[in-house]
Amino acid sequence: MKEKLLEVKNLSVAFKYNGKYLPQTRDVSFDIYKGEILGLVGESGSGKSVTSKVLLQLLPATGSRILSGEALFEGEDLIRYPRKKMYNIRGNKISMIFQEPMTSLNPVYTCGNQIQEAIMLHQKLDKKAARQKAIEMMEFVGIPLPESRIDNYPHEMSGGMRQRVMIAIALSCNPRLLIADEPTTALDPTIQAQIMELLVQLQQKTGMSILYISHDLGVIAEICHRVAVMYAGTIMEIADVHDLFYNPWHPYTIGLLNSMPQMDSTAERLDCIDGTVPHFSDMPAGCPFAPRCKYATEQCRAGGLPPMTVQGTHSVRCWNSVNRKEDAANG
Amino acid sequence: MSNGKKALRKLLKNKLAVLGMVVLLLLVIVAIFAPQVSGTDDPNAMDYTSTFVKPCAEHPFGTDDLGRDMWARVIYGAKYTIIVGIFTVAISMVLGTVLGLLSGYYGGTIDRVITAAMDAIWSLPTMILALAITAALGSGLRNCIIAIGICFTPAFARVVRSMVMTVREMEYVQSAKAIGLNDFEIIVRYVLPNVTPVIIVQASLNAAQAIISEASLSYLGLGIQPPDASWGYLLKTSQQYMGRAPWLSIIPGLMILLVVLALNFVGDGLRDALDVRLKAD
Repeated sequence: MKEKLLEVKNLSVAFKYNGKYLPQTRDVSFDIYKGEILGLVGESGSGKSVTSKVLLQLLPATGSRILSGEALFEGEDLIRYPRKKMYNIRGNKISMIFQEPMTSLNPVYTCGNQIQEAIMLHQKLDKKAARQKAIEMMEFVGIPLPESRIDNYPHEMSGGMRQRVMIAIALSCNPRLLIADEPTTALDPTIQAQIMELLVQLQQKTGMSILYISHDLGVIAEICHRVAVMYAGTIMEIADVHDLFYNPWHPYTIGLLNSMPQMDSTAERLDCIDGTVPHFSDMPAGCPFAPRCKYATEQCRAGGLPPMTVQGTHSVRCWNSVNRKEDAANG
Repeated sequence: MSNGKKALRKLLKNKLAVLGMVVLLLLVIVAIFAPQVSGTDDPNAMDYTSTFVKPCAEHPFGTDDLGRDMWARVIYGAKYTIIVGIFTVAISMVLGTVLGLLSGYYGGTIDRVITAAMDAIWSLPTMILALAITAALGSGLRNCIIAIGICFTPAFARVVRSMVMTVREMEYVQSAKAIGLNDFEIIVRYVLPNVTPVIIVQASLNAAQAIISEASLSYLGLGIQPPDASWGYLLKTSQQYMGRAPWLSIIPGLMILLVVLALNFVGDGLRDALDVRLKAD
C-alpha cells in the first residue's frame, strides 16, 4: 500500500447565500498518495476549485465557512492550521497553479523577478543565487533561452510560456503536492498537450503528487493515476483511472462518459444527461443526482446523501450501483 | 538596463512630459532665486505714485492697487504655490492611498468604517470643511495645507479603493497568496504597483484644485497671511479690479494654468513611463 500524503475527510464548506450559510460542498473525502496524480473532474460549480482552495485556506474569509471535516497533510490539519503559519505551507510544501496564465502573473514585474520572489521567500538564497536558480527553473520547465527570457515581462510571453513560468514558480521550492486548477483550459490544444506532458515529466522527476482539477475527461484519462468525480459539491466516485473509464459504477459517471464525443461514432446527436445540475441553494433531499438518474428509487430521493461504498480501490456514492453491478455480473 | 532607467528613458522620450518638467524646474529655480530674478528684496514695497500701472518696461506685469510691482509678487508667489501644490497632494495622496488600500483589500468592517468616514468628508463642501479645520488649527500656510490635504483625501481613497477591489480579484493576487506571500507583501508588491496609474492621474488633477483651494482660503484670511501672496491669492484679490486692471488677474491666472498643465503633462508621462506594457518607442 502506498503512503498517504494528504487525507481529506468529510469536508463540507458553506457559502453565504441570501444571508444564510448553505453547504456548497458536502462530505468530500479523498486521499492523495505520494507520487500519484489524482484527477478531480466535475462540471462548473461542482465544487472542484472550492475543494482545492480550501486546502490552502484561499477561500475568502467573509462569506464562506467550513462546516466540518479535516485535511491531514504530514500530520497537520490544513483546514484548522493557524493562518499565520499557512505562509510556510503555501508555495513551499503545497503549490498551486491556476487556470488563467494570462492573468496569473503580476504584470508589473518580470517573470524572472516573480520566480525569484518565490524562491527567496522559502529558501535562504541571496539575490544572485536566486536568479541563478530561477534560470535553472525556467530551463527545467522547458522555456527556451532562459537567460534572456528571465527579464521578459508577462505580456511579452505567450500563454503557454506564461503557464510554464507559473509552473516554474510553483515548483521552485520542491513542493510535496501541486494543485493544478485547470492549468490547460485556457490554452490551445497543442500547447495543452505540451503542458500536460511537462507536468507528467516533472512529476516523475520530482516524485511529487499532483491534484489535477479539470472538467475535461480526455485530459484526465491521459495523465491521472486515479480519478475522483465530483457532482453538485460532493464526490460521486473514486477509482483508478482505468477502472473508472472502463468499469464506471455511478450512473453520473456513466452518463458523463457517454456524453463524450467519440471519433468513430456516426451518431448525429451526442448523448447527454437529462436535466440540470441543482443549485446549492436548492439541493434535493436525497442523492443530488437522483432527479436526473434513471435508476433512482424512493431511498435515493429521500434518504439523504448516500454514503460512500468502498470496494477495494473503487468507491462510489450510490445506494444501488454496487448491487446493480453484481446483478449484471450474475447475469 | 534597470527598470528605473527604462522608465526614465521612456519619460524623456515623451515631449510633453519633458516640457512639463522643464516648466516645473524653471519655476523651482525662480522660486529659489526670487530676489535675484525679480531684482528686489521686497515684493511688498508700495508706491502710491504708480498704482495700476499697465505692463511696461519698468513693471513687466504692471502694478496693483497699492503700486506693488506684480512681477516681483508673482515671482515671490511661486514658492508658496509650489509648496501648496506639492504638500497638499502629498498629504492627501499618502492618506488616501493607505486608506484606499486597506478598505479595498480587506473589505468587511474595515472597508465600511473607512468608506463611511470618507463619504462623510466628501459630503461636506470642501471650503466649509477646510474653513472648519483651519479654524480649529489656526490660520497660516501650514495649517491651510493640512486642511486642504484632508479635504482631498477622500478623492484618493475612493479611486484607490475601487481600483484595489478590481486588482484584488485578479488571479495574480490569488497566485501570490498561493506561493505564500503575506498580506503586506501582496499589498506592497502586487496591489500598489497595479493601482499606481490611477494615483498619478488623481494627483495631477488634485494639484490644480489644491492651488485654487489655497487661494480661496487665503482670500478668506485663513491661508497665507498678507502681505505675502501666492498666485491663487493674487488672482482672488485682483478680481475686484477686473475692469480697470485686467492684467492683475490674467497674469496669476495664466501662471496657475501653466503649472497645472505642466503637472498634468508630467503626470501623464509618468503614468505611461511606469507602465511596463507600453514600449518606449
